[in-house]
Amino acid sequence: MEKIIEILESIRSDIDFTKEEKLIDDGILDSFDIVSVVGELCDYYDITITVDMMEPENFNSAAAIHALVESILDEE
Amino acid sequence: MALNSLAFVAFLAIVLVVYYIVPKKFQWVVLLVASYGFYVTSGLKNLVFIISTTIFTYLAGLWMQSIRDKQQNYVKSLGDGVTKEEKREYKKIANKKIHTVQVLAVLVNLGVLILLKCHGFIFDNIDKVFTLFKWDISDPLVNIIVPLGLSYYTFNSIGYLIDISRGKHAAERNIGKFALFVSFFPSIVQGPLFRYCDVGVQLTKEHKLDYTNIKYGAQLILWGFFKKLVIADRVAPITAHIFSPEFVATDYNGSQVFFGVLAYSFQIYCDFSGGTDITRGAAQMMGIDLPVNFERPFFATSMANFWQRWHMSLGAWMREFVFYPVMLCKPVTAVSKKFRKKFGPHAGKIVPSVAAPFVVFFLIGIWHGITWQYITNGLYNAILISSTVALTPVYNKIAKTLRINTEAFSFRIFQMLRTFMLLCISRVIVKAPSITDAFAMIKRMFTSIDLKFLCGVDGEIYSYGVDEKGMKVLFLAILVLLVVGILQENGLKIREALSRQNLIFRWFILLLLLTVILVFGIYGPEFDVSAFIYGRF
Repeated sequence: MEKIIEILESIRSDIDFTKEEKLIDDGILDSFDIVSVVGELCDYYDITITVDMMEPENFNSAAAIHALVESILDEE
Repeated sequence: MALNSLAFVAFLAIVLVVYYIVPKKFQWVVLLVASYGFYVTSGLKNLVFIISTTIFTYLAGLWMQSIRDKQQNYVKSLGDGVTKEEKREYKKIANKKIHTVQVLAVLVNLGVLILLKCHGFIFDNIDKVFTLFKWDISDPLVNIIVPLGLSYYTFNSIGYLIDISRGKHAAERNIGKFALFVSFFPSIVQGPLFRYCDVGVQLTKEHKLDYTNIKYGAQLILWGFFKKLVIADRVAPITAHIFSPEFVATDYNGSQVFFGVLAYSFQIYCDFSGGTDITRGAAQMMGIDLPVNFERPFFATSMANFWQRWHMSLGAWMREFVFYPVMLCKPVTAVSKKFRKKFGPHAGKIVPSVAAPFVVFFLIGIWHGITWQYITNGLYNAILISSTVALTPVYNKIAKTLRINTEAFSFRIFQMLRTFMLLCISRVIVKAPSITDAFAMIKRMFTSIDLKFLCGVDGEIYSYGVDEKGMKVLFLAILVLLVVGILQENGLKIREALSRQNLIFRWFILLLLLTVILVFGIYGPEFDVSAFIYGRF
């Protein structure tokens, strides 16, 4: 979880990712930020995040992103 | 059958009566028969294309599903004797096969769309090249008329194929139910686009007669008629006049162009969103919730924000099936990462922000029609959006240096006006008689300003096809539109607010709206304005 927040902060240092719960729904992160996040996550965890995983609920909070990464790691 | 015709209202009324009378399990059959009945009114020959797309996409969907089912059944049959790695390998092989079928099926669908919509442009340009070698190439499809709703049902079909490939939902096994998804009659004319997992499943569900749905649906239809008949069709002669080759040949000034583009902005918004309101209202009366297509685009504060408010279903389609795949493709992410590491997070954002909008807006340009004007307009929008992302730190720095309060209401007004001006340029690019005329008109908009024609002293403003009385009606109607827009922008849900009012007031408002439509609506016998602009696409 800490690593996820570290990655998110490296892309958008102006956001408190420990508190935000609606990163996508409230338009806090835009599509371009998400792609940067996905790139970093794929590199760090050596996972593949596919287009069908690009759902708002998977990126609305640091916890949701953590859960997504965990589920991919578990499947792989 | 036009959506804004009395025939459509009568047709919808009959369909609704039958829809709610028959046993609920046959409701989807009523919709299928109605959809094909509606489609036939656009020409019997058109059926060939929609039926071909339906059968082809249906079979491709089943093929992909059978590959997935076989793989899953095979893994199941192996029981515990299969390792996790082996399971993953089987899945990978199946997904590769599914992906191949999907790509081929999408290419066929796209090929038909491009051939039917763009044959004129393609053969015209091929002919120009071949003329250099004194060869004559004529367009073999010159007599083919683009079938009604071609872009809409093709894009919905492509979305269906990609969603199956991604495992978002299973293929529909009932060809009748799938045919309804492709041909659903209120949305076949001009959308909105929708996905099988959202709307397709609703179409074949059983729906109870619900008073709120009937009431809200009818109100939305009425509002759609107001926008289309009282504003869009009334304003159409002004647009037709100012953007005609005859007008462009005169010594016009930039203010006249600006007046024309202002008129065109209201025309295209009221035409397209009015049609969508009629479509969504008709579907709501059947208990079917179609996606929202517009969220007051006049209040957009940036071009990116405008595209989040304008033709939203096309935007959602592009985001899901073009934007994300381009942004996540290996070359883009690899270059993005290199930039991020070397020049910081913002530089990493610039790479996808340049790549994806160019692909998306090039496709949106083509979607409207392959002409150099639409392609130029697509590129214009892509440049604006890419540069916004790239230059955001610069804008922030300027605002900080000049101590501009970007949260202030006045700054929002500035943003809205700036966006509207940028949109005006976009509108001129597509609406001018030619691309050369477009550039000349844009130049004059900023260099030749003369507001004398607005004064009406010599009656020039009333010589554009709308007389003084018509102008007054237009002014009031647009005022109503803007007031409603401001109320909605502030979170008011108009139909819900109206339903909370007393019976007399409620009916007064609705009857007033109906009277305005009947008295001030333009029914287009003398000029062909009543056809929906987006019906062409």
